[in-house]
Amino acid sequence: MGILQYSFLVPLIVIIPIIVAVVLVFVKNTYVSWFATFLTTLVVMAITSFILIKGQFVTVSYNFGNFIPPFGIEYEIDILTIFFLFLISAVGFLTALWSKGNILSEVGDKNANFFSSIFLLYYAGSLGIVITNDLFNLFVFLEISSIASCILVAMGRRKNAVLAAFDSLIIGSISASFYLFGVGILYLLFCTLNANDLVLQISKYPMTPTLVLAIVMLSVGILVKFAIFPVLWWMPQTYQSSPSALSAFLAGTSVNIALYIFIKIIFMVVARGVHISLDHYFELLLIVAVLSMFVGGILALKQDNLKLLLAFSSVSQMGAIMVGVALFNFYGMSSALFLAIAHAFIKTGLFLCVGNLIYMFGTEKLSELRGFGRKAPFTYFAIIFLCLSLAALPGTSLFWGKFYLLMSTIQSDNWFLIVSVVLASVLSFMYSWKIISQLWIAKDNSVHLIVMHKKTPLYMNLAITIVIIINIYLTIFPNITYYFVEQIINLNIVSKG
Amino acid sequence: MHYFMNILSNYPYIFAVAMIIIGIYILMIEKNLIKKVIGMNLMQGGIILFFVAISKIRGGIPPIYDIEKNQEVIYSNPLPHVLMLTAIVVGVAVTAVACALIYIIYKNYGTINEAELSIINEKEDNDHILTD
Amino acid sequence: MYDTLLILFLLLLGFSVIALMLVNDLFVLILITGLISVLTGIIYILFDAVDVALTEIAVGAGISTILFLITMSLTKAYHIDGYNPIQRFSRIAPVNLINAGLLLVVFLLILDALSYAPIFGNMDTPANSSIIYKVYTKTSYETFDVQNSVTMILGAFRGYDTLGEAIVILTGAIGTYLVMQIDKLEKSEEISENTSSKNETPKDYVISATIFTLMPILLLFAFYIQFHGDFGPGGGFQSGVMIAASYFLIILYFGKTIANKFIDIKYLVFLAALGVLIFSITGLVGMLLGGKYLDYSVLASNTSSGYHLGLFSIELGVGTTVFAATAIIISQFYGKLKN
Repeated sequence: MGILQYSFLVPLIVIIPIIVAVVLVFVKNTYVSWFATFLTTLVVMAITSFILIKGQFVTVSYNFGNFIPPFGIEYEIDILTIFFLFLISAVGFLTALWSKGNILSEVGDKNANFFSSIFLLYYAGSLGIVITNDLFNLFVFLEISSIASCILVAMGRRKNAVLAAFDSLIIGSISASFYLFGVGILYLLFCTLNANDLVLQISKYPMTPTLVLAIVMLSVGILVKFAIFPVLWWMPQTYQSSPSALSAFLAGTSVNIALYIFIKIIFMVVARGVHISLDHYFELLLIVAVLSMFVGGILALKQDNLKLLLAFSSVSQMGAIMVGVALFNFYGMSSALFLAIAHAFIKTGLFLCVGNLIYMFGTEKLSELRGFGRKAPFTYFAIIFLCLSLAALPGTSLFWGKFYLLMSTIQSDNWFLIVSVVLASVLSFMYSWKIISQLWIAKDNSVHLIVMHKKTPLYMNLAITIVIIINIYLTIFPNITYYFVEQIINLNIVSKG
Repeated sequence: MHYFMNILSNYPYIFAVAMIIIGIYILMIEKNLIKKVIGMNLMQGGIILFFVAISKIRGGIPPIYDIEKNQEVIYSNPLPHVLMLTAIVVGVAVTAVACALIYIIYKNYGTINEAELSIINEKEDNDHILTD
Repeated sequence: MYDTLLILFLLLLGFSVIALMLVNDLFVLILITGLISVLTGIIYILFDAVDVALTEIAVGAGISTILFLITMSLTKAYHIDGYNPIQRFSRIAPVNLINAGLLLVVFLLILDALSYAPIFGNMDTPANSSIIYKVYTKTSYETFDVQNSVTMILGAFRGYDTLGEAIVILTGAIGTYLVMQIDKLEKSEEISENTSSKNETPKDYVISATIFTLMPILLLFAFYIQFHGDFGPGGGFQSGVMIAASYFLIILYFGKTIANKFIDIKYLVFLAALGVLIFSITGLVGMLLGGKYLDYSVLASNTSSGYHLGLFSIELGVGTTVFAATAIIISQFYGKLKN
């Protein structure tokens, strides 16, 4: 096949951002470092889209140092991987394009070149987590992205940024430690770190409590990263206090990365080899997912801070995605993947819009933002459109995800689940409506007029326009994406499992 | 009986797991941020001990090739050593950033007690960017 | 005999960990953390992990302890709370008792699960009998002429992980540097700090004698393990930490203002980035010469010398980054100390 001769492109997806990030340490000029970041993300997105289009669902692997897989580190791109790689690189490209003005307003020009450099390291870390087929290499990149994101959060010019950074550092470290412990137990049992090799080894091995322990440790590590119910408090704080460019990137990618690790490690590696059924495990997951769906939704309703509201809504949507995953049937998995991609682009767009608001008006409180529509009509209509999508109105992209999720719950014949998915959808409609109504009603309330400091430059609006075009595409042609998702599930989870 | 023999002969793992659990305990109950970081280090230390214990072979020698006693020796497994070198370095990077953050938290809030910090944080305005 | 020794040190470790939970004085607490590092280092030597022991002692008892001590004195947090160990133990809140009980149950469950695991130290456990283990221990000398198989795995088999490690420590150093600059409230303090630190050169005879005898030995040993890593224990990371330690001795002797003139923090950041750049470019050169990324066999005419060249180059990169990063971290913290 044609793609195999281009396999040298595979490591470059991670290597190029790393080298550019290191070179940018030497560069002092803000404009140059922003432009280099923009160009790098563009190149990486070009590579991923090239592999996506040219790949034809073929698995491409790359061995570092020319050592065959169980001995060396391997990168492997299959259809599931390229799906997530494209998602992350696209979100990264959009935020990098948008970020220039935001860096100056929310970070300050003194450290702007370091911001670009660490942003690229975070970008490379996220891509490295997804692309690698080696369990320990995944840990290393997990830590790179965790430290880098913590530093980026701390650079935001808000009072509580350092507190949020500390929390996210500790949580990231705990999650990585649990994950590493799980990897250690797997290594003790099977002496391998390569995911494909591990599948072979597990399938020959009887189920013992030690293996269960490994699965539990791995899933605790990943679920902490997922901000699932008992440990969700750190995440909204992080989203709120970080610079908006980072909030947008985190909102678009961090959920998807956690989802990817979960699908890859738990389903494709462990569950595929394990002989006994994991029903009790999935029941537990369902309970946790439903709880986080409700807690996130209810807390989102109470917020006046727009960023916090969106962050809690992310918690709720993650719960919905998790429900789809834990149902572990065809509809459930496809709805989870579909929800993940739709939610990523909606949330990225919304956080970019909030960033626009902060750039123009210097505030993100709903009550202070009333009546801003006349002064910034573009951002206003963008927010209205994205909020309608977030509310999952019939016809929007998120609606199809929710629809498939409902189908899968009906298929599982569990009344409790059906009711809770419907209720959570009502909640998400309510908080989306809250944003729209707060911004809408105040049009006649012209007593409280806010001051606009400066207009947003063209490239910021261009990034938001691209996000909206993607959302419109997902809305009009859900079946093309859905076909793609179906292919992933058929190729990866059903046929191999 | 066999069961207890298995547990007892795996005694290094018991200590490693105990270190991890105590690290989590410290992270859960302590309010002082420095002690939290110490608890995190302890947890990582337990995991490193676990990995290194896997690599040990009784009667083995360190995995450095000796030309004189070529064939008759057993080397301990070098792979966990390499992995743990990386993990230690990652741990010190996290510790350094965490300590720097603790210092800045103290400078901004005047305390490093988590309970006091959350009380102060609730009263403050976090909705706006600080201007110069 | 072996087991007795191991159990002895493990018990010592256990006691120090329990002491860690109860002690109130933060200074003692940090010293206990250092002690725990030393004890685990000794246990690693018993487990035949010489490189890990060297690193653990350098990092845990060296860098981390210094960082904690400076942070403690910067934040003026000398005590956890106002109680002595027995009071601390008796005043545990009911919520924490529930937590402790839960964790105890988790501990017992983990022990139960681990009782089905392969027996510690046996030769026929999967980890110690698989083909991967055999290839790692035998091939590194027979095919690539590298005696220390830890160096071989670190640089070649899992060289990409080591690149990640270098990036992590670079990120940590830049992060420390940036975080230390965040001043959200006070701006006037920097000026007063500069004036107060003019006359601080502790030219004590004992200190200078110690420093000038210790430093050459440290540097010599550091360069020895930097370039000797193919044959014995040690490598870029350990030597980087040692060179950073001698840099710290310079700071201690001359005072931070003069030391900062000697090596500006800006150049240290550049140096740290340069190390990662050397590493990643070495990998890229292998790719350009027709191999895979981080393939050293194409660097020279035959495989063995190619590997030696590649390992030398990446160890140099790691050593540079680790030296610069450690120096940044320590000098940033030390620079904030007033007295």
